[in-house]
This record gives sequence, structure tokens and C-alpha cells, in this order.
Amino acid sequence: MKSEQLRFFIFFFCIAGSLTAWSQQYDRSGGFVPVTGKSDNRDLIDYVELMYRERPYNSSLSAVQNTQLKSHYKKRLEACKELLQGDDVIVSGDLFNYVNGIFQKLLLANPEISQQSKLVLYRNLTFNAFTMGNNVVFVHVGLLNKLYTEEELAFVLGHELAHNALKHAESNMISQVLQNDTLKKQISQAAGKTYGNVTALNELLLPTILANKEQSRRNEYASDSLGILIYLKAGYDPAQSIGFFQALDGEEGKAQEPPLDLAALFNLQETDPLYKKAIAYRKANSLGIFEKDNEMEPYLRSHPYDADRLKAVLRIIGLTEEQTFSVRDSVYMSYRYLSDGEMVYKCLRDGLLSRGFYYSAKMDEVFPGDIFTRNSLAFILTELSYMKDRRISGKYIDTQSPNYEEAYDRAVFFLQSLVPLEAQALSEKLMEDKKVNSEEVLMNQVTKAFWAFQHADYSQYELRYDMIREAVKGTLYEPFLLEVDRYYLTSGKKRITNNNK
Amino acid sequence: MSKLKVTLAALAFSLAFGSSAQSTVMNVLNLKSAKQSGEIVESNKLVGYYIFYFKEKADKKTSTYEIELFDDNYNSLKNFEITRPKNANLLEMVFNGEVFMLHFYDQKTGYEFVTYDRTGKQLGSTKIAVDNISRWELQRAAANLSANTENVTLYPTGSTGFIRQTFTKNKKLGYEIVAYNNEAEEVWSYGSSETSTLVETAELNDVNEELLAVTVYKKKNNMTREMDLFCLLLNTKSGKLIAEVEMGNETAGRQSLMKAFVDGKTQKIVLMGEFYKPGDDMLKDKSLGLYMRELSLEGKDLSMTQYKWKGDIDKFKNENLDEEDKKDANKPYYMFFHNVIRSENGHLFLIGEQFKKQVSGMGVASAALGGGASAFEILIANMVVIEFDEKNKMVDFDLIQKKKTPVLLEAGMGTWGTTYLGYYLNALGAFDYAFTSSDRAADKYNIVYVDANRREDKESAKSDVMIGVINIDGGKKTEERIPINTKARFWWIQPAKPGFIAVGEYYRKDKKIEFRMEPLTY
Repeated sequence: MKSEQLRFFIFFFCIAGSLTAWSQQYDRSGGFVPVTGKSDNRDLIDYVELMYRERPYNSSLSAVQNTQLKSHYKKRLEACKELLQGDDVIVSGDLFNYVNGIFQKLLLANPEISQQSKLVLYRNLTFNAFTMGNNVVFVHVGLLNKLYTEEELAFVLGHELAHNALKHAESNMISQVLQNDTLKKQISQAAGKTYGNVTALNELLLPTILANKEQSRRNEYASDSLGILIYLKAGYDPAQSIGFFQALDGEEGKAQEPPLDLAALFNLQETDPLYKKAIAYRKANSLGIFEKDNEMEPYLRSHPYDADRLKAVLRIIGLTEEQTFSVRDSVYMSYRYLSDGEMVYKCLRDGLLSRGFYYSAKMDEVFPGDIFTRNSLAFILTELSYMKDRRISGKYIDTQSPNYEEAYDRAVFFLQSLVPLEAQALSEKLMEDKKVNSEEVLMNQVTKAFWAFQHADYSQYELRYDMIREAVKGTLYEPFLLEVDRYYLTSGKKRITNNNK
Repeated sequence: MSKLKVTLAALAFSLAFGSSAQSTVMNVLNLKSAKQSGEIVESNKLVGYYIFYFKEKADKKTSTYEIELFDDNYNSLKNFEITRPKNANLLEMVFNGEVFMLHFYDQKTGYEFVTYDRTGKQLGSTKIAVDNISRWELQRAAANLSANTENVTLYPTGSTGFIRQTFTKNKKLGYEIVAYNNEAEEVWSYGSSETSTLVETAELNDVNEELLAVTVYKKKNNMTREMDLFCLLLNTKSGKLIAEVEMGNETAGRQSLMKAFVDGKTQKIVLMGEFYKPGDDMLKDKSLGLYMRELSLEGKDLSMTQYKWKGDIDKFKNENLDEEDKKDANKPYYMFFHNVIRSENGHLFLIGEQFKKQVSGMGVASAALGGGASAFEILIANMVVIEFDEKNKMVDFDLIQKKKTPVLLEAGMGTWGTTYLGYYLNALGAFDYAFTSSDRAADKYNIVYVDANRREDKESAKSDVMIGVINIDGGKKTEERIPINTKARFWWIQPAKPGFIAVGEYYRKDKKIEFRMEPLTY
């Protein structure tokens, strides 16, 4: 009875929360503000430790095997704790509340699933969501960044909950334990061979690897099957369930992202000298195009081909692909603004400037003229101008790669081609918009300090530096500003203003 | 330069590229199995890198290896596996736009030249048994392997094949130029006579699909410094000798040959070097000046232009240099020429570095204390760029100031001639000149040197390294000094793709090496 009351309370709370979230779009008039600071994840860590303590004893395994299994659980616990203790966990704020609202909706509609399941948003740029099998579902902001509707997200969450419910992680650990004894002996025999030891190891391990991969693909099908049922039970529209596979297509390089319209972004006319650079592109292939060896690729995949997954899901929901649809969901998109912002924030914080430029520019296309994206772009470009001058930009911007999606490779090509003055000019061009150029925004103030430095207006630079030096402490701007100031001082310039020395 | 040389040794273990983040990160733990690594060069242009890994012993006599290819941005492109004799070494790899030629060496079985296409499919192979390789050739291979420096004996000839320069056995020492097609089959060879009693060596100077220009040195024995120079012109397709052009002689005065250019547009061959007084020794005596000699494609003399140091070049310097540069330019420095660049507009740029022998205070003190140093040292001074236009008229003499650095000589070397010491220092890598980054097709060249003055200006702090760059872009010359800084304790610079310099950084705590590329010019 008690638990039923509790369930009702949670249900009511979540529905109320979700309804609040859905009833109003996220207000972004003030620009994006990241969820900063270390979250207090003690509850989550306690929870994963509890899950470890409550791990089941497997009576079908020997005592030794159970000990080995325990060590697998322990490793999982440590890995999970390491993630939860990092700076990239987001378990509060509007974005988390929104995604968690959907997560709780799925849980409540599916009482057979552990209602204790937890959601963690993770500031990672890759398109991924995962669970380690301990009822904690991690969702990367890089996944949210490629989706357009709540249904697409609900499908992914349902899929991850299904992995948990079907105990795929546990069965993987058990199969590893079962393989352990005999395989270890065989490995040591193969490794000890005088001749052909690596080949022998490959031959020995390949069947196991292939079997594991095949099992993994079966698990994915199983999770898709249960996941879609979880999704449907929560009342989601079957016809809108498969949008996720379109995003997956993009990730697998089948549906390429369109290139950034840099000319439009910077409002460059054809007569502008930078226009040519904005539209130019050359693939980096100093040694030409190489064919990839992909004979084994279908067998080494951890996930089935998405076309096959799509077919399987369509069979379950009893629809053809033509009967399905995906409409850009304005509520979802307003929260995606926050996840896109987190992506940009992550790039700036970790010094991934070419990625930061790309995601900011992409974000600007989705949310045109947004203050945060424009400010980020201006900041990145002025940073780049300084770094190019100092010959340290190679640390912060990528070189081209055939492994990148073309849209990103184009952006890298553009950034590589800019000379410091051009990067600086583009930064200033973005800030010509008075709406964007606000002295109240810290990022702007840092950008302007850089501008002054790049223009060798050192008195202005010092003035701005002194104004913001306290405010930037502990923020992502601090290392950038310290770097420029260190250079400023070592390059023989003496502080004109001495009040803060 | 010395830093560069020291750190280039690190290249041998530094090329196991891993994931591609911002700068390329490598896991040092994976480097143990890397036997050799190096640059892939196509027409003097760096186009990629390779790593040659040991995989496993296949049987008693053979091992399996893996070759990994990287593009010029350090992206891994392809791996392929090969089986070769155990202890095989990969001496060099070149690319002709279509096919890779790999040069393997094994102490017991000798040389093997193998060609692969981009899919990793072997197209052909040619073996040369160890008994048929001259000891000079083997010494060169062994020296390069032990010093971790690259063999430079293979050159692509368009997309149809390769040329190899080798030493051969004759009564003393001979040379051979061998051409291979893309299937690694020998197409032709041209070499010194087996019965020759002279020491004859060759250096490939310019290669294109039509013509090969080769500098040939002939001397009576290895100990003598007296030698005669020839410029050999060969038909690239047939190997037929077009002409053996004598570069002066004892009575008329000799000419050194710094560089030969085959100009398809003007149908001329341009030879460039220094000329000497009759009877003078090129390795001992100071030259009289510079010459430019034009030949027809058949090797016939068309014109000769000479600029004497005293008279022509002095006069030009006095008329064109500012007072400060004049002081250094008129000091009795010798000039060591590192490279000659010919831009599309026909201008020639001679890249030289001043040096002179002088008494060393430290050397004298060391000698007095019974140390092994000479009382003399070499002072390495400024960079010099001399430019000639398409009509061989001298149009610029530019002195690029850098900090002068002394190089202490070993005992006994003080008696050596200064000219000879220049060659010696160059072989040691003691000059500040580092490398030339070339992109002939784009008509862009960057000459990189290290300046011991590590300050950007008088007041600024020292950077970790200050590199000087002489840019020649479309025949226009500019210069700049670029401070390079790093937070890593162990770091080095090395050549990268045209227009860039690579900075390698080793982070001991994380056991990782990062490579980043920085543009040489904007």
C-alpha cells in the first residue's frame, strides 16, 4: 500500500513536471547558461553502490566463478562511479528535468521495469546512450543534439530501459566468466608460441569476438523489441517512433549533414575577400583515396545495421515506413537549445575550438541569431586569431580527416585557411549586431579583451583585463585569459595600470 | 638545428599515431613494436608518413610485419601485412602518385624493392642478394639505420616508376642509376664502368618524366680532395646518356654543382654553383664566385653567367644593403649553400649561411688544461639569400640576421680548410638551417632555420625555440621569425606537410606524445 501511494505520488509529480515543461517552451531570451559546478551526485553514487551490494549470487556458477563475477561487478561499479564523479554529469537544471520527465513517464507506464531506474545526462559530444546494467541510464548531449522530437528521445530511453530489464549487462558478464577459464589457458598457450603467436591469438579470439558481437546484435534487437513496447505503453504515437533511425543514418554517414552556410552566417557578399574562403573546400587526401577493408565489418558490428533494426521495429508496430512520420517538435527543440548549448560549453571548456565553432554554427542554423551562439562564435574566432598568431592553434583546432563527416571537415578546412586578421575580423563582424554585443555578458567582455590585445591596444586590454579578472575565476574563460596575459607579461609589456598588482 | 637533430632521433619512436583529437595523440605503449618510421615523399614534397611494425615471427627465417600509412595530417589510412625475412628493416618508402615503392634491407638476404598500390596489393618485387651489394651501399644503410635517419636513394619519376641511386662495386667505388617501373621491374640502368680505376659517385639532382640530371664526382682515390665534376643528363624513359657535361677542369678552373634544374617551359637545363680559380681545390679553397650555366636539353652550352664575390657581388651588396647589414656582409665569412630554389617565374634563390673559422677562447683554455678540443671554433652567422632573375641577373642579396653561434672543433681540426669544415659541419647538422618545405606544384617553398636568439624583441621573454622562416611564394620572398612554445618538458620540431612545422610533445606522466602542426606563414 505504502509503495502504491509512493508510486502515485511520483507519477503525479512527474506528470505535473512534464506537463509544466511541455506547456511552455524553454525561455531562451537571456541566452544559454550551462549547468556548471560539480553536481552533488552522492545519491547516485550511493545507489550504484547499493546495486553492487545487492548483486545476485548466481547459483549456476561455481564459487570461483562467482568470485570472478564479483570482480566484474566491482569493475562496473568503479567505472560508473568514475563517470558520476566527473564534471560532465548533468543531473539538475531545466534540460535534465525535461529529459527526466520523459524518462519517468516511461517508467510509470511500465511498472514491471525497476522504478528505481535513474537518468544521467552526460556532457559528451558523441551520439550515444548507454546503461551499465545497474539501472542507471546515461544519455549523451551529443545524442540529444541530433534528435528533433520527444518521441525519438522516448524511443532511445525505452531501448536503454529494455537493456536493463533484459539484464544484458549481467548476461555479458556471466558469459565472460564462463569463457574465462578455458580461454585463459588457450590464450597463454597461444601467446607462448615461438612462431605465429599473434596469428594464433587472433584465430583463438576471433570466434569469441564474433560470438560476442553476434550476441550484442541480438541484444540490440531484443532491446528494440521491448523498448518499442515500453514506448507504446507510455502512450507515444507508434507512427512517430522511428525518427531516431534517421538520426542514426546520419551518424553512420548515410544521411550527411548539410555543410554550414558560412557565407550566410557571416553575411559575406560575393565581393567580400572572405567569401571565397567561406565556400572553398578541398578534401585532404595527400595520398589519395584508400579503400577500406570491410569484409569482416558486418560481423564485427556491436549493433545491427539500422535498416534491419528499422524493419524489425516496423514489423512490431505493424506499420510501413510510409505510414510513419516525424515532425519537428517545438517543445523538444526548445530544450534541445540547452543540450546544444551544453555541447558548445563542453567544447569551449575543453579547448576543442574547431568542434566548438562547428556546433555553435550548427546551433545558429537551428536557432538563428541566438545571442549565445553568436557570442560563442565571436569568442572562438578571436581566440583563434590569437592562437594562430602565437602558433599554438594546432593544439585547439583539428586538421582535416577522411574520417570526419564532410560538414565538419569543411568547417575545419575553413578554420585552417583563416589568417589571424581574418579570424579577428569575423569575430568583430558577428558582434556588429547590437543585440548580441552586450557588455553584461562575461563572454563578450573576454572577447573584447582579446580584441584589444589583438589590436595592440594594450591600455584597453589592461582595463578590460582588470575589469573581468575576478569574474572569470573558475570559469571556462580563465585559462584562455591567463594564457594571453602570461604572454602579455612575458613579451616585455609592462602593466600601465597598476591597481591590481 | 642541433635541437632538431637531437629530437629527430625521437621520431623513430614517435610515429605511432592513435586517435585524432585536436592534436594527434599517440600512445607510447604501442610504440615498442615500431621498427622504423619515416616520411613518404613525392617529388620532394612530404605527402605522408609510414610506420613499420613487427608483428610476429612466422617461422625460423621469416617474420610478419605490418605497415601503416598516414596522410600528411597524421590520419591513419591503411594497414597492410607483409612477410619478410626476420630482422628485415624498411629503409625508405616513396610514392609516385599511384604506387608506393618500399625498400627493405636484411643483413643476410640483402635488398628488396617492393611496389604496392593503394589497396595494399603487391605489384612487384625485385631482390638484390647481399653479395651483389657494394660495401659502400651496405655501410650507408647500416649508418642510416643506427642513426635513425632516412635513406634517400629512391625518387619517383612521374606516376610510371622510380629511380634509384646506388653505389656499386668496381675496382674502387662506382655508381649506378637504376630505373624501375611500377611493377618493380628494372627498366634500365646506367653506371660507371666496372673497369674504372676512379672513385665515382653520383647524386640525383633533378628528376622528371623526360630527363634526369645527375651530379657525378670522379676522383683518384677516397683520400684526395681533388675531384672532377660532371653533370650527367639521362633520358628518364630509356636511360640513354644525353650528355656528360664537364664542370670545368684543373686548367680552366672547376665548377661546383649545387643544383641542376630541368626547365620544360624554356627547354633549358640550368646549372648553378660556385666557380674556382684554375688549379684550386673545391673542398679547400674559397670560390671566386657564383655561376649560372644554361644548357640545351641535349647538353650543349647556351650561356654562362658569372658573379665574382669580389667585384660583382661586393658591389651589389654595397649598393643595396643598409649600413648595419653591410657590416656583417662584408666580414670575411665563408658561405655554405644549403639549397637552391627555382620558382615558376625562373628566379633562382640561393639559400646560404655564413660561417668562419676563428680562435676559440674556450678551446684554448681547454687545450691548456689538456682537453681534447681544438683551439679553433666555427662561428655560424647569418642566413643569406641571393636572388637571380630569369635572365640570371642578380636582383637581391639579403642578409637575414640571426644570433651567431660558435661550434667548438675537435683537436686537430683547426688545420682543416674552412671550406672543408663547412661540409663537415653540414654533415654533423651543426648549421642552423633546418629544412626546406617544398610544394613545387604550388610554387611555394619555406626555408626553416633555428635562431638562437629566442626573444621576439629585446624586452620579451625567451621562447622555447625561435624559428626563422624564409618564404618563397610565387617567386616572392618574405621572412619571419616564429616563436614556438610548449608546456611539455620533452618536445621537438620536425618537418611537416608543405607550409607547416610539426611540434612533437611528450607528456611523460600520461605516457603520450602529441603532434600538432603550425603554419609557417600566414
